Amino acid sequence: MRFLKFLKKEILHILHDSDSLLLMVLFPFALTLVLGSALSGAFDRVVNMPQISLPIVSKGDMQSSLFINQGRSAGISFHETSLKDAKEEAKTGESDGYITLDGKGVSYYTDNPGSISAMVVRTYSGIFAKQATMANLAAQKGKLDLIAPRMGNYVESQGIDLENEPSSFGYYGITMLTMIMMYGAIQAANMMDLERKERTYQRLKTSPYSMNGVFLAKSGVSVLALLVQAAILMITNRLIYQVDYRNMLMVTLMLIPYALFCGGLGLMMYQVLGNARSANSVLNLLIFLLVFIGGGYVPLSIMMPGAANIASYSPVGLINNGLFDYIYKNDLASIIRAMAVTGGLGFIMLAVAYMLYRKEEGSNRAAGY
Amino acid sequence: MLQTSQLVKRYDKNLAVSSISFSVQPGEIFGLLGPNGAGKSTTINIITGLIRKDEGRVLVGGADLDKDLVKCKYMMGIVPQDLAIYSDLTAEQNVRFFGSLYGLKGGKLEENTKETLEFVGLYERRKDRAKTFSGGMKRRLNIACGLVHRPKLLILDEPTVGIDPQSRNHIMESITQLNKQGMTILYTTHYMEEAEHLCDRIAIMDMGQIVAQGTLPQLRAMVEEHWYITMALKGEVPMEQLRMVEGVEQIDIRDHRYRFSCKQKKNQLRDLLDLLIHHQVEITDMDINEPDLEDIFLTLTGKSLRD
Repeated sequence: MRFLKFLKKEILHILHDSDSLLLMVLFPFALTLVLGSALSGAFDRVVNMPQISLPIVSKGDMQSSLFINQGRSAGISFHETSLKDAKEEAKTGESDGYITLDGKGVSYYTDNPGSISAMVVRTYSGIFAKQATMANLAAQKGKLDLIAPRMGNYVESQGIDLENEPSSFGYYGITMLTMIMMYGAIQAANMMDLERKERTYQRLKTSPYSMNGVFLAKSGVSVLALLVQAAILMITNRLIYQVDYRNMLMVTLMLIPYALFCGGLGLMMYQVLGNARSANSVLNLLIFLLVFIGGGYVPLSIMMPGAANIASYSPVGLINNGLFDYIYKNDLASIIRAMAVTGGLGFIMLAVAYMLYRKEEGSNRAAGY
Repeated sequence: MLQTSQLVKRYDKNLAVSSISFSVQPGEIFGLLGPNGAGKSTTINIITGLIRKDEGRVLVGGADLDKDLVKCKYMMGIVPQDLAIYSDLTAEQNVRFFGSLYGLKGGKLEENTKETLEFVGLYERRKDRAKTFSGGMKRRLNIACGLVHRPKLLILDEPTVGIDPQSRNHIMESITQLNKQGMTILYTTHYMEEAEHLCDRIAIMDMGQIVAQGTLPQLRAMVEEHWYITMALKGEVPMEQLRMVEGVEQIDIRDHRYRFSCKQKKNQLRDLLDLLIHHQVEITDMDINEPDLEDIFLTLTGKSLRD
């Protein structure tokens, strides 16, 4: 019963700190918007092909007709015109260049040879020319069945399955979630420091209530608060950014060991360093490093090709990758591993924090000396 | 109700508390009087279990603090020197929470919370957060949190430090009232007037030791060969020469009046008056008093209580 009263008191403290609560939701929400928008290009897998329309100068013979018709299936629209008009169009910018087709071959004139459309036209023209040459050779050899060009779909192309990769908002919808939970370590340290700050530690210590109960209540509420904040953020992201979490309840459950890790880190740092100010300074630095290495701000593979594996050295990276695999590939292997690692580390850190906390009982530090 | 025996506490090589022994009878108000740094708070912290003692024994209601710590804690209520309340919680939430730590629940908890807040005069403000309170109100809430569970022994560690006189008087009246209801009280202070007004018995502490203890008459008897003369003087007072008069041990200036602590000697008063007249110092008022606690402390320790 007393434990529940203590839990209730801790929850009241959190609810009364509305500024921090709001920050814990608004901050990642805003970052998701900024980073998701700014870096959306890095996550896109589709390149939009431009509409290609070029003037063509030709004799108007069968070869020209074949060139024009087959160009249509390659996504290029040719319109016949005179050389003078073709040059004029290219000059005025109405078209990127022009094609001439005569008995000698295909010529492509453009001022922008590096553009995607130029590459497509060059590729198409090159293939057509080679095919025409092959047809001539076939005709010379009397292989009439090989004369007809077969520029059909002899290349089979398959795209990458885009549904298995997150978009930029999908990416930051997860990384910002795990990042803000990491900052919950600071919240946990401050929760423990509250009793010292308000000097209520004396009352707790001189009351018959067990110090074990105090520690348990503080740890429990710090972990619970992180999970509630995570749930609120997920719901907000889902509603506003349409971030897909596959199953939010499952993801929340998966985050329990990670919440234990974050809370344990904060409590351990507080007990080791002895005051909230030092603990917060160290935690701020540590959290930044863990989130950065874990690809929380920017995927490492974008900055350093081949660096994607470094993320697994950070618990944040482990959890992020595990969640990506679960949400986008329905693969549970890496998330289970991440849960085991973060939960194990969290438990160890909580144990260390507890041992140091218990050592305080009866010490001079307990009286604030 | 409380018995301490040969308490010792060291911090590195410094002896904060040295062989402190005293007892508090059920139903009495016992004062620990001494200047800052005398060891009063350290003694309280040992008794309440906040810090470990190096030597000695403490019995609370007959229970040994070392063997029955939890049982002892149930019997005690603490009002610490520093405010120990949650500023973001309401008065009611504060009192209710601390009451719950002592096992109060349900209707009993609500009843005690209400009565305690009424007792300290904060019931009307029970829904307001502690951070909106004045200093005096916070002190009253601090007291309320210590007595919500109706302890047998209430320990107040300098509860009136830094508050206005009105709140101070209110607190002292509350303590008197509690005592009339049968509560045993251990009260530490460095204000002589509080100890004189409230306490049945007083222990005077200095440098970690009890230099004297007893009722006020008993303490006065320890300095009976002394007398204390208070004078209101105008002009240039020859302090050095006055100190040279036989038997004069200390000259203290309190509220613009000169207080002479003297070991009684023949013709002493005459010598003092002659000296003052000779230096053309006008004596506008004079009084010969019984020693107060300040005088007793001064005589026994050679130091002022206000140092």
